[in-house]
Amino acid sequence: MSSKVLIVDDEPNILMSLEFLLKKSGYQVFIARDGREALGIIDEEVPDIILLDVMMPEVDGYEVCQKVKNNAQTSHVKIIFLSAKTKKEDIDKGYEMGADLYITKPFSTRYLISQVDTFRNK
Amino acid sequence: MNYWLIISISIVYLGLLSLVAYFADKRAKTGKAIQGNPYVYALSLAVYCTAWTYYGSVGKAASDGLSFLATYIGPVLGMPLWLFLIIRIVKISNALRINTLADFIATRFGKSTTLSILVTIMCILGVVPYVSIQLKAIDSSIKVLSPDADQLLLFDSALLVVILLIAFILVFTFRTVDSTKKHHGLVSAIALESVVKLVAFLLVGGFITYGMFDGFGDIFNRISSENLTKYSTLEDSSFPVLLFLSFSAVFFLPRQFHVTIAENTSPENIKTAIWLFPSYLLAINLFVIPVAIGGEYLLSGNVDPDMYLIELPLLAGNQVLAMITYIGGFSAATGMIIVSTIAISMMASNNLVIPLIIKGYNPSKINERKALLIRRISVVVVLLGSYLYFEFVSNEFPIVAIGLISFAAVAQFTPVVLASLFWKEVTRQGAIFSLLAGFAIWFYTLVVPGMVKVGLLPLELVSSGPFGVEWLNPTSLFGIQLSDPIVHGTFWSLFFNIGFLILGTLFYDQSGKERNFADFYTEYYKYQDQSNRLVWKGTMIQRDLKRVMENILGKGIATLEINSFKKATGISLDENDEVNPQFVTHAEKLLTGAIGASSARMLIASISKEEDIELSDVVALLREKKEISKLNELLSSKSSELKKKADELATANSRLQNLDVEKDDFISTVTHEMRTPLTSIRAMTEIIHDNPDLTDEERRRFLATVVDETDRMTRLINQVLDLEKLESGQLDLNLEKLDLCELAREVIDSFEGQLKSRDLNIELKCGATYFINGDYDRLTQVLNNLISNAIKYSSDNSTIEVLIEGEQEVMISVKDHGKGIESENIDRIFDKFFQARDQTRKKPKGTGLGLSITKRIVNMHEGEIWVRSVVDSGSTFIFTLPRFKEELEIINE
Repeated sequence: MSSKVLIVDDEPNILMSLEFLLKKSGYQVFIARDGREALGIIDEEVPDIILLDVMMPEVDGYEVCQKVKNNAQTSHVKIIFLSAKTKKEDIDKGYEMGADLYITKPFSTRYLISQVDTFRNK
Repeated sequence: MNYWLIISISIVYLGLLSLVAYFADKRAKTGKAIQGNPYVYALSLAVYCTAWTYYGSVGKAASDGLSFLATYIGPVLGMPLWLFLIIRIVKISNALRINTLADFIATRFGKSTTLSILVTIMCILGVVPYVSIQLKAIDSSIKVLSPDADQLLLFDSALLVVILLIAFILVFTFRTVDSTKKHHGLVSAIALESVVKLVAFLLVGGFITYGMFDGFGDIFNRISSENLTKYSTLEDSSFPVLLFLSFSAVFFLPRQFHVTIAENTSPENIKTAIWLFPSYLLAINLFVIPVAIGGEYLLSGNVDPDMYLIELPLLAGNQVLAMITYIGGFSAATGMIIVSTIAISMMASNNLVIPLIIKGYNPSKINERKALLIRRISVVVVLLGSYLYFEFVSNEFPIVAIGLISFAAVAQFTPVVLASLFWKEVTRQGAIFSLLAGFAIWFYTLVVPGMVKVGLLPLELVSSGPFGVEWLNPTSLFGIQLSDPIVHGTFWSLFFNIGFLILGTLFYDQSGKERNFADFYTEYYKYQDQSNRLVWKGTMIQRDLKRVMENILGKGIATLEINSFKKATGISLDENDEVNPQFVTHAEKLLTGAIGASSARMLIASISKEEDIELSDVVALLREKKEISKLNELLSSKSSELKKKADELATANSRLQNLDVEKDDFISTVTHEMRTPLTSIRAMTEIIHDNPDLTDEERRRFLATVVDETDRMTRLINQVLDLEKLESGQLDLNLEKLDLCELAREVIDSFEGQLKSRDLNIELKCGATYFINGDYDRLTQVLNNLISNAIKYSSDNSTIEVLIEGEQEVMISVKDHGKGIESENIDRIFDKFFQARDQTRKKPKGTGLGLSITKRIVNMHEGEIWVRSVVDSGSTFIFTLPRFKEELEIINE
């Protein structure tokens, strides 16, 4: 059974590229365009890894992260933030919310995939 | 009525007055003076209302109707002037220890002895007859009450009254030589007299009106038809002149000057007097007309109208009220006599006798005891003089006529006093000529005809002029007949008075001494408490000065003053040293309080070698003062300037800090906005690079995305640069005449593709053809932004309305049917990156700079932009532009 990855971002072009790469690496990919949609998917289909944007309408990335990590049923899910917010306080906040990794945009897709692979194998 | 009863009541009344005066003095000594009370002060001013008011107003009203009112309306009309005229005189007089009119005028013109003497003589000649008519009033009223009185006495009752008054004055005033000491007892007694005469008049007037008749209405019904016009119209052509005379009198009659200025304890009291004094005048005149009419009706032809107030109660058989009337009249007369005598005798001693003694004999002959003695003798002389005048002259005239002649005499002071306060250049010679001329004409036109009438001068004088020279006729000078002797005399005396004041000032220069005081009088507020700064220059040994002070002021006071001066200034006043000029000025002021300005001046001059004050000294003093005040002004303006600068700096600093924060925000937002397309571009290119096995279709899709995202970045960069240019003002508009509707059509057409894909519709409505002066590219950008926003936020399948309308200016609105803007955000919608700022939840669609740029472009075109929005139903962006000028002109024609 392949690992499930949920990508949460409101930029269609980023979603498109990450979906392509992850599927190619053998993951089962789910997509959400905002925080609310993401929480709905997590409820039904607990993913192994979430790639999470911070700035989204309605429910932002930090909130999604916090909810996932505080829920006993989902707290094991690995969360990688993908964010254009690059200030130290933004990054610190991401880790405070329980993120496993915080990657700033723009990023190397090779690095991202390698990190996803690492989390899968843990 | 029993004569001795009347005399006894008069004596008891004076005794009561003495008691009041005694206790007021006693209270003042324990520090609880009632004189400081503004009401006491205001009431004491009512010494203006004499027996003339009391009896004479009724007489005048009976003969001439309403014209008696001039005497009261004049002062009331002048009341507002008190605020700056009297307060001014009070402040100057307090600073220089002046307490007579003669001192006030003489001091202004370099403490001129000539003026001092001249003013005094004028006052005596003007006022003695006036005092005498008060005696006449008392005498007449006694005669009415007790017709057979004269046979009972060796001397008449007026002489008895005079003796009583001399005693009263000597006991209650002039106990110390310093006349600047306020007379608490005296002022309180005068205030009481004002109350007594008012109450008496109201009681008796009320009795006559309501007891003997049936009120005002009843009385007015009894006016005989030939008298009707007298009481209903004012056809007295002399009325304006009488107004002026009484207006002057209330300032310059010696007794008025005394109670108003010399006895004033605080300039603040004047503010109470300004309303209380006119109210008093109104009250005391309330029953004048009813009494006059009633008298005419019941007593016409039988008795002297001046005595109606006593005759009417007697007619009604009411002896008590007749007695009350008498007491009121006695009170009015004695009040006037007492104050006038004090004022006149003070002038006679300080401004006439003492200067003459100092001039003619050895100055050292004057000392405290002698000064007091002279003053006391003056009291006796003035009162006895008045009595003699009464005995031999005033019986020939009605009360009012003599009163008016006195008023005309003091009116001569008006031009000089006003000039001394407001005309800095007026000279001593001008003042002397002015008073001499005015007084001579007054005497010639108003006194001489009276003397003719009593037979002192030949009748030919008024019938055909002196030596047959008709144009010198004292009743019609230069052949000009005026309605009334008073009008005639007042006109010519003031004409020459003012004329000589001007001529004397034009032909003579001020001396340094005069200039010194001219400055002080006209700009006293600059000196405030600095009267010691008046210049004295000369040489004198301190011992001599001390001896003079001891002589005049008494040893105790002299030593006290010297010691307190030493203490205050730290200047040692050694007996064998040269005097300190500042101390001389101070000493001279003290001596002025005791013996008058010009006497003090002469005394100081007699013991010193004085140099006349050079103009340059005065100028130097003034310059110093001016420089100091200028420096002060400069300092305070500098310090407020500094404070302003500091405030400006603080605001600038906080603005800079805000700008800094804004700039930081801007940069971080811009870089943040660039990361998103960069992320896509990098991801796509890496995919293409790492996956040679991509299908052509996939490759094309990824490459197209790269191009899109590059476009997005380019747009962002362009907008940032645009905004930068707009903000720094580097952008020049390329203005041309544009058809706004055509431009809007072009922009709308460019959106055709997008509209179709979302099933949207744009409706353009142009009210007319609108030409504007604008930049084609920039305005295209504006419409582009607004329409693309409208498209972005519109619900699918809706219509966007673009409306162009207006008269004086064009108004363009773009209305969408979308989700609207929340009201709390409306104000910030034109801010840069407003959508994005510090918000993680709202990701911008677009760059977040569009509306900022739009607003700036509209503003550069001298237009305004704003938005109206209803949540869930849509927004309307509206902006205005000025119409093309020529087009506007056509409209406005």
